[in-house]
Amino acid sequence: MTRRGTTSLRAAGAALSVVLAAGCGVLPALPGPMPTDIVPSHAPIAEPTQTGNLSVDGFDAAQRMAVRIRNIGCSSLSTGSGFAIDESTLITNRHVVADSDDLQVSTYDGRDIAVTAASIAGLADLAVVRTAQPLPAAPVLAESDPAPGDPVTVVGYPLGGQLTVTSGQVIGTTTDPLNENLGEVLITDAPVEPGSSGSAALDSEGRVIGVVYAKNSTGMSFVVPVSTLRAMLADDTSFVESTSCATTS
Amino acid sequence: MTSHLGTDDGALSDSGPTEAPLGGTEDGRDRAAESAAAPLDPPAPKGAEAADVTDDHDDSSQDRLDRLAAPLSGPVAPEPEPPGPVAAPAAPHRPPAPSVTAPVVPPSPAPTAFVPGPLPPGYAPSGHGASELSDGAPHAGFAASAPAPLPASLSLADVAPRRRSQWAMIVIPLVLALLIALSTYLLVTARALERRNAEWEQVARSTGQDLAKARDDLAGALAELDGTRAQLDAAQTRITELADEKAQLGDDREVQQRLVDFQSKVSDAARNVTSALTSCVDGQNKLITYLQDSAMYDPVELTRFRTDVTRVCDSATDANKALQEVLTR
Repeated sequence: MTRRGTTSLRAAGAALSVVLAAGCGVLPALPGPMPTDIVPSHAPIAEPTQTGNLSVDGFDAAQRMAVRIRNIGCSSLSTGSGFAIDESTLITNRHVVADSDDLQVSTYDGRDIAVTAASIAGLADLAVVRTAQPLPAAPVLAESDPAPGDPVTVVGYPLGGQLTVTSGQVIGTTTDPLNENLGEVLITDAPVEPGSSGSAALDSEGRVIGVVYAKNSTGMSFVVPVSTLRAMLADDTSFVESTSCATTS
Repeated sequence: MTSHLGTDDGALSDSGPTEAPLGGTEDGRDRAAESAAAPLDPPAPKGAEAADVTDDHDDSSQDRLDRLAAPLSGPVAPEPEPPGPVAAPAAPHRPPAPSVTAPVVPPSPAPTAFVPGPLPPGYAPSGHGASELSDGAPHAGFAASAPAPLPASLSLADVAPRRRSQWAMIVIPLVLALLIALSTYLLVTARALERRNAEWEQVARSTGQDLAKARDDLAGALAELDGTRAQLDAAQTRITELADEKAQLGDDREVQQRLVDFQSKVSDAARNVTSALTSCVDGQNKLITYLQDSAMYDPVELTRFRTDVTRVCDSATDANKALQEVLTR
């Protein structure tokens, strides 16, 4: 066989090898060993889109943080609302705890919480109550005051009755019509009633944006803004010990 | 080129020496030279030589060569016959054109590259057939030269088929082996896939049963969850109601407690009023007794005692008035 023929034969062999290699890629492969288990040991878990009412008893945080305050005065008995800001501290209105002989706090599920001390603010209708037992839950204070139009949710015990959640939106701001607060207060259209004083006003994310303290005849509610609350809590001298009516009378 | 082999034209003899240079090998040239140089050689050795040339060919090439050589070697094979009866055997040994041209004509463009050279002496065409030869010499020369171009023509026609046959000898077995291997592989793969398909079907059925059971369990769990949610809502509502009831009872309790405390204080006040009034009455009785025997007592002491009794009675009267006022509220 000549050199030319050999070269051609080699080229043909190379071409055949290329064709075989390409053809092997096209041919179906023999199946591998049968898997022993096709069920994954850990199935992918979908991320929850919302938390819902996930708690030990199904109540949400807004309900769990609310407390009912009974003010047993020397000559009268009144009720108000409040909310926890930590495990043993409540925020309410000054007029809720004023002129009291005894303060009694109960939670959303009816548990009684003993009160160890109460302090009132001089420049705002705010008060701080210390408890002996831990409180169920505490919300987060918002960083800034809400803007007009923002949604607001009020959680409290109107008329000293059941725990109630009402909703509305921020109407605007105004000076305190009762002259009990320094600076401006928020106006909302969230329904409140006597007994709702000290209720937490929450934004859409469950953060505290203020403390309900009054209402007018047109149904508007007035709220001490969270900025005032923050300023009062930051100042150690802003709260003074509340005196009992029994000692003053 | 090969068409020359199938005709008896005078050009047939021209093609021998002309095509020789076109041969792919030196052997072709040699044979062409031989055929040109020995037109008068006995035909038998030429035929034998042509047969020798094809000895190293394979069988197919030999067959083809035999077929090709048959028309030309016809007049050569009966070598003992003298050149006299040239015309007689020429006609019956004329080869049928289709039997020769059909298998030999290659599609190669070789004929287009054919350049006819000068005709050698003694090869000038004088007619269209051997029967037209005028004398015996040229006829004998034709008879002798008829096998002369045979080796050259055979070599030229054999080069490409020979290569093709070599390629065919290599490629066809390879292709057959490849096809057999491919078929075997595909058969094995198909059977393996069939078995695997059955296994997967079994797994799928089992998984489907598990899925159906899981769906039933899920439906049951969802139903239980709905029931549990309803129970939770009811429980939450009840907890809230109970908390409120407890708070209201606490308020009532505190109110009642305050009332009890008030009643207790009122009772204490009434008891004190009663005691004061009793003291008043007792003092007044004593004062009356003292006044009945006033001579026996110091008038100053009697006056002081009367003043004390009056003060006690006034206090009792004031306390009684206050109690009455409280009770009337």
